[in-house]
Amino acid sequence: MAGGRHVGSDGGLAVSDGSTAGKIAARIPAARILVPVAGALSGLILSAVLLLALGKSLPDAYGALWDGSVGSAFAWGNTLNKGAALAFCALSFVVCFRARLVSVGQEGQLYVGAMASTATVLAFDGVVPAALAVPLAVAAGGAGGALWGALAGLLKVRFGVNETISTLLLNFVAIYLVGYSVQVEALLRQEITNIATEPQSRAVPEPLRLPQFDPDGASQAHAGVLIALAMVVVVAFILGRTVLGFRIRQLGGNPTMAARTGAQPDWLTIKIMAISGALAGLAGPSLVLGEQFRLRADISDGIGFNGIAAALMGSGTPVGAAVSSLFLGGLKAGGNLMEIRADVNAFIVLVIQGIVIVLVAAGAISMRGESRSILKQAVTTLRLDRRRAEELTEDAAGSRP
Amino acid sequence: MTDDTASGAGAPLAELRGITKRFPGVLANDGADFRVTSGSIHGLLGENGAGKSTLMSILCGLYQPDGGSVLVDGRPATIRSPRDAAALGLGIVQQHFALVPNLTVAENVILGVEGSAVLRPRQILDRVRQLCSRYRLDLDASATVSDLSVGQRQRVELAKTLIRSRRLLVLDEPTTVLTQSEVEQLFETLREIAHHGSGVVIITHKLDELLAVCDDITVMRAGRTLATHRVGDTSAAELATEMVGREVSVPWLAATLGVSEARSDSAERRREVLAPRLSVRGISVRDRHGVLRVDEASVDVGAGEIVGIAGVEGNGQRELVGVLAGIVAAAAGTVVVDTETVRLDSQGLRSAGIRVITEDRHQSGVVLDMTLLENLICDRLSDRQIVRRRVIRRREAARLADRLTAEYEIKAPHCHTPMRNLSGGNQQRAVLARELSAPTAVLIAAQPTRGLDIGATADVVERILQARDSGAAVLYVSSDLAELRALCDRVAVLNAGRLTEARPTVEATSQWLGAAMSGVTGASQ
Repeated sequence: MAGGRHVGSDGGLAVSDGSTAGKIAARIPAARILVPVAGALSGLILSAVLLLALGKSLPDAYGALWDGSVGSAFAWGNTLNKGAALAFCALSFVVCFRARLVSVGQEGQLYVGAMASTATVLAFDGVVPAALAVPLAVAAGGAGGALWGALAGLLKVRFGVNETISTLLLNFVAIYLVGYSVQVEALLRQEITNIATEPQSRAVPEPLRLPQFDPDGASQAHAGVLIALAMVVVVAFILGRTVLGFRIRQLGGNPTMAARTGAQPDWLTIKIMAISGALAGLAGPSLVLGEQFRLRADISDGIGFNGIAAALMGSGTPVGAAVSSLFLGGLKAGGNLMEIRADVNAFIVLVIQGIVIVLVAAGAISMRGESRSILKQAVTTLRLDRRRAEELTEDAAGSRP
Repeated sequence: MTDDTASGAGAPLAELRGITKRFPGVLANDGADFRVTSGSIHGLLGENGAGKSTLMSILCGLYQPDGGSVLVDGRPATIRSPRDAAALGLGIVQQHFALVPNLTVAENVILGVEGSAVLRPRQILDRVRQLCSRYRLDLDASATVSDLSVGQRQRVELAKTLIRSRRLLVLDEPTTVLTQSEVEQLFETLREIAHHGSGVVIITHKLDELLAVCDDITVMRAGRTLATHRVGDTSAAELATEMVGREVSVPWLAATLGVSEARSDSAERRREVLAPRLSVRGISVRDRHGVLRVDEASVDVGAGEIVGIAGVEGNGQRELVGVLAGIVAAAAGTVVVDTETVRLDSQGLRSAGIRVITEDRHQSGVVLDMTLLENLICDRLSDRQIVRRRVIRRREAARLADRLTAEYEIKAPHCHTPMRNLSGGNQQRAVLARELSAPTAVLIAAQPTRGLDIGATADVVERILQARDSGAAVLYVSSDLAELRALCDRVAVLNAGRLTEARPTVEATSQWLGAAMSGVTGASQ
């Protein structure tokens, strides 16, 4: 935790809630790292079985995964960029989840953010200097996401609509809105010059893109990574140290108490959903201005949803979410090379990514003690509870008739 | 069924030897010994935090001991889960119910022990009815749980436990939620269960109840078991002293324990009638179905006065207190403090100096997932001492929390301890610290001593009396008449949302209170 150690019980998801694994996590902090790592490893092992069944060479496939994620400066650049987009969405989930608001609207907020920043950057192209246009476009992305999030918050407060359902459904609205905007020339579609003109926006001109760390070099890591890092610090600080963060956690812990001690739960809910939306919205400019340089109808392939997985893997802390995002980013970047070099079908790559994500997230969730998973029991055994081992041996030796 | 033949009355059923159990920062059990026999009711007496629940949880497989051994029928047993315990015939009814509200009584009882994948409703009903008649549990097996009263729900829990494990039944603070007649009924059932040869353990800190129903009483203090007495060979005074570790001298406290006659502290106070400090005028509350829960309640409380609100729970107490805490919206009425009309939201009420100890601590008194420190400062987030530019100043906050922790004698390893890890008494001390450390013109105390042990009760009452003596107007809501008589200057009765006029305690006879509480109109003596 960057921020909340001393003011806050800002311990993320793994509160010791009386469950075995929860208690373990409370007692041995290492379990919070060990469990996701074990999840990742078992995911890779399970995937290996799949790859073998398909007749692929494991060294080739996993070698490509390694090379494509951390094997070169280029690979690292991809990993960082994908990690950044994921981190925005993961932080978005963390913020609202701390208030026990379960938003799954990151994907849609990302789309709205991407649309807003594309519109802004193209509108300001040549009007204001790049040094102004780029920050404005990034901010517009955040604002777009915030609007989308606040909408769900408003629906909850005003009409009692469950935020999980509203955010889920608003995702579709956002995705189709973006689809429409790049279909219509009057909106964001590039000028149609011939029959082959694709339904996508005009390219973002070079000066208006997010600057890269290494303009001429191999790595394509862009400034979005820095923004994501800054957001990790900001979110950790807000949650751990500020009145707002206090209210967020208080609302999550006991809404009645929050109301009694001067918070305004309704307004706070909208605010939290807006902040959460803004964070996910920032993933939009990160993709448009940093990686793809144009708005397309399929700008994200589930980054918003994978961000939720990253947040859960990171046991709900901002830093944990960031680390997990980087891991998933590497998995995505490496997956691309696995497809190209090891001739693994693109869908199989997605299946493998899915397996790893599910197992890691399952491990992380099991630490919250809400499910009695195999993983949780495995951890209990792994935990080297000596007394328990002794009891077991005593049992076996002594009390059997 | 083997339960009756397993052991006759008097045979040792389960034994705990030298049990040690450590939780982070707390030694809950420190070499505790306990022995329970079949066919008897055994009381486990001790203050909150004495380790009673932990000890019984170990016996019933909810916790693993760090040291010591468990014997069942004289043989060492390893009980790793409630399932293991049930297999040995040991079961516990916990303080908080775990029922599925939209299922029937029979379904709830049978849940988890159906015996087959296909449910046969008739067979289930018969089985549960049989169980109920055997133990004389007054329950309608086909009723839906959500329609049941608290007392009935507890009977469902009893039946649930009995169907799984018939040899030993442990009840954790079973009477806290019950009315007097329900308590009687429960004891009747427990005697019936013991009569059938099962062992019964009651965990409680209420002495009089144990003396009424138990055969043996074991006293625990600070994680150790001190002694086991036959009920005939001991006295309430002896047990109280053992439990608390010192003489119990506060007269009214001793009275609630049944140690000596009730003697009102307030009856002797001669006081002038002052202008009211708190004036509640015509407060009405409707619930979300539009039903009137509080009907134009009015009461005046003078500075330095305690006015009690008596009544059976569920007659509008929660709503009335909710309005004064700013968490329930009033349909009508005003609240005046020192001639100023107060805005009826949490901020308006707080800034008028109205402090509230709510009835349900976990629901509206503390945030369990936050630390002690955070619970202490949560209503001071606009205090410039603690918050500057919307950022919490850690050192100042910790200093304040440490000061309050010491001043209000909250027992916690440090102020960053999660609230969840504190005992009920210490949670309540924290509530008092938060509420009373700010300027207090009015104190609303709703069931402030419920579920607390004697030490904590004494502390809480002491603080409330201090607030009164320093000029606060105190509204004391309780269903415990002895407590109200002992503390209040005047008493009013809330029945079906209607609040009677407040009478001086000395004039509030039992007949009048009883009549008013049961809604007999025109109860003017």
